[in-house]
Amino acid sequence: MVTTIHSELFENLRLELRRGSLIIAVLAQLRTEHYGYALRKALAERGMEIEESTLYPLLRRLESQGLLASEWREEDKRNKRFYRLSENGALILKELLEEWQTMNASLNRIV
Amino acid sequence: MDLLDRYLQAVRTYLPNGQQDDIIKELGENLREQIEDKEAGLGRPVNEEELVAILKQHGLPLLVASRYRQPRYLIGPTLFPQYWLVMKIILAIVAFSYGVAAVVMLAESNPIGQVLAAVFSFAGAVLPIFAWVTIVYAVLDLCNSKFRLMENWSKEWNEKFDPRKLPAVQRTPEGLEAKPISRAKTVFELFWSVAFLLWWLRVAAIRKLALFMTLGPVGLSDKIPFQPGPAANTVFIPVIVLTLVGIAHRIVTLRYPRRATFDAVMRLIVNAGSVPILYLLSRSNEMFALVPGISEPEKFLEPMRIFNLILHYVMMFAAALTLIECFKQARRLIRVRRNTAPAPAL
Repeated sequence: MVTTIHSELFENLRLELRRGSLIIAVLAQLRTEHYGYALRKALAERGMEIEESTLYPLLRRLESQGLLASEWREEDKRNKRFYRLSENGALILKELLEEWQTMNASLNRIV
Repeated sequence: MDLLDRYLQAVRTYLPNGQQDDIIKELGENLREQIEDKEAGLGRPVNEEELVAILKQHGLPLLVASRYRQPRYLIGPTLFPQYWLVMKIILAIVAFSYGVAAVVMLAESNPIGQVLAAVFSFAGAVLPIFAWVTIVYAVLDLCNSKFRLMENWSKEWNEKFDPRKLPAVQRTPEGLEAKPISRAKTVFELFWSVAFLLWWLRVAAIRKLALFMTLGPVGLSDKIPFQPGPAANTVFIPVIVLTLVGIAHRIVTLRYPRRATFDAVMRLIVNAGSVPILYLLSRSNEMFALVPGISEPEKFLEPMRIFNLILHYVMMFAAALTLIECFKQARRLIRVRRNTAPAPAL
């Protein structure tokens, strides 16, 4: 019982910690154009596993916020929606990376 | 690929209108690519089991579709604490009004049926109020999220906010507890103390209600063959005095809910006073007696004896419980006094 509560609590905190980092990872990876499935594979290859059901809605949300741009294009005889970082997205990513590095440095000093 | 199409169709059902085609087209392409990737790894087409595994890993259609929607709630976390407080206040006011109305109706000797009907209409009266308050707060929340009202106001309030204008810290003086005694609990106890007093004073309607609750519909009959016995008459005045002390205690506690010492002392007095009364009643073999002049009294003798025997044990049990309560209150009193004693000088 205690172990279950402990693991549930850890899982919730882990997800909370990951949420912001995922956005940075997705924005950074989309400095190069990708479609959904290819992006997921690219992130996984770099150790950032992310569920499809999380990634695909996230891409749409980031696009609706103006951080990504997308277009349908044919590749390998198949229509795919390609995403890339928008100009505004690039500015935000720069700021987010600075913020992340500051936070990381602070955490390193604390822990 | 029939399974894939069925899966996409199921997801589509729950997607936001206007985006369904676009999302399904993209999701379908991504899933097809994933399946092809798997097939390339296996060197053959995926079988049904493998396709099922891929779709299961992708998730339940309802959950998958829900992630494409903005989180929605009727009343959000900003307004919810205020909404909940308003609900509790309304419930307390309506419950108190109904309690008072029921006692007044009984005191005016309204038929029990009418009083019970009035009490049972409580839910019917409360639910529409709750519905209206919920609608008002849902509209407020909608306006808040559309026009960012709280965000704009909080900016304004923050500029005007001056911490120096906050009220002084409330110190806990001697004899008071940091946590106030629950007003709801005090109101509940006050209500029942008054109801008991009216019953003890033989207000006919209250007595009828008590009989109804104890005996069921038989209690409403005008020909109840028993009445309180001589033992009840012996303790008649002490019971009134103790109940009045209890009522005064609750009224003061309602006004000063932090007076823990007062509360503990008063409870100790009432409980200590109740123990000898309960003991006296338990010693009596005739707490209830047959009404004089009743026809065929022998018919009621045995039920009366059993009833008095049960009451005898109930009173003994109640006396023991009240004695335990006395010790609990005494301990509480010592604890409160110790907690509020001034700290020794170093």
